[in-house]
Amino acid sequence: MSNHPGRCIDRAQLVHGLVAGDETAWREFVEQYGRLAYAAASRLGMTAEQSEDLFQDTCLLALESIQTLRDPGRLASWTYSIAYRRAIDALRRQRPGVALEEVDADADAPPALVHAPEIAAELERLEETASLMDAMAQLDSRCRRLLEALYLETPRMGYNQLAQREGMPIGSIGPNRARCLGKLRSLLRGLSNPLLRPSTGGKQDKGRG
Amino acid sequence: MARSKHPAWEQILGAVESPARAPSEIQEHIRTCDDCAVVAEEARRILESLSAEQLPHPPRPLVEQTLAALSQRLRDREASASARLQEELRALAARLREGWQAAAAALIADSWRASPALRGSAGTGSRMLIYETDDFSIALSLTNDPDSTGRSLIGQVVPRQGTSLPPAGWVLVRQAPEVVGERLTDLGEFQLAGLAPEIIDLDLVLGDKHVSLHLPSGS
Repeated sequence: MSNHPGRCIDRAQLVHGLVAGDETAWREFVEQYGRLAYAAASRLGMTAEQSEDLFQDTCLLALESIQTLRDPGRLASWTYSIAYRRAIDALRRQRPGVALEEVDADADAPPALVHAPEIAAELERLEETASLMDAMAQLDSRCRRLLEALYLETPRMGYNQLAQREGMPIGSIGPNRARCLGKLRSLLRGLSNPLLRPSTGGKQDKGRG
Repeated sequence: MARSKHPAWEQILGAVESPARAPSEIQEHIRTCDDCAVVAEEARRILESLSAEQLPHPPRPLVEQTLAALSQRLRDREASASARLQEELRALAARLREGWQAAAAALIADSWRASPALRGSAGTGSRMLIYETDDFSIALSLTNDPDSTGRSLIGQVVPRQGTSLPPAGWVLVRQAPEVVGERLTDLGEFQLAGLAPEIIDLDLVLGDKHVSLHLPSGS
């Protein structure tokens, strides 16, 4: 089972199916990308009932608004953003005085939590996971398969097994892994990714990788 | 290591993953070079994120319930779109019956006329027709459906020089008891299948213009 939903699925094809109302594509979305909503509910400390509502609301809202997804490459981040907004709305309705505050009015970015640092940290990690899913989906298939096998599949694959499966010399796996991680980093940078945002601080990259 | 010669990505990655095995000059460079420190931090966060705990799976009944709700919405949406399409087609057909004057269209090319031999393959082959009005060229391809007695019509409306394609074009085929048709794509294309074999009249609605085509006999 993968940590990062959506693996092995051609993203453009998936989004095309979602827009066209294809039920197989929607099953994929619910089973894989819906997990971001369920995880957000859990990290916000929602009850089981609230979590189920958030999961379902997020999926239904995604159906209503999939036409507005401008970049298929950001499906996971977009889904997370929907889930996050719905969750905050739900918590506000439940506790009008809750110490949550929107500080970012940008429609493309989830609002930030400023009064609950431990929750904010958990959610930031989830947002990073969504971004990583988006970047992984944009990797070429060879790199994606390699990184999934090494990091995301359970149980993780060893170099020997992987070399056999991919028909590559065992000695080339390490360099290929580094090269693929470099590509992943470039993609994350291209996505203005939250995973890399805090540490870059406006500094210029020297173009490694 | 000189500040101007930064370590490669692979070297920085190696230093992040196995600091104890990384050459000291690489470690020192990362420690003193802001740019390389940023790259090292990015590598660390990517590796950390790849190894993060799994996202939870929602309970199976919830997934199935959500899929059922989505499926119902998709069916509702489809039914509603189909009803809207029929309504628009009926309104257009009524307007045509009221005598909406058609722009004249001239048949300028007929693949059967150009190559009479092709007619011998009429049972399975396509007949290509090209019409022109003052504003548009209309290309049609009529094909007998291989697995039925019906026919398919593929076509494209192309604006002639100095004109453009109106945004909401329609193609209509009046075949009793209903009107079938569809919107033209942005490129003026359309495709209708399962048409009755005797269909010879076609209406194209292009903005405020109406073009009526009477296909040549034997098509």
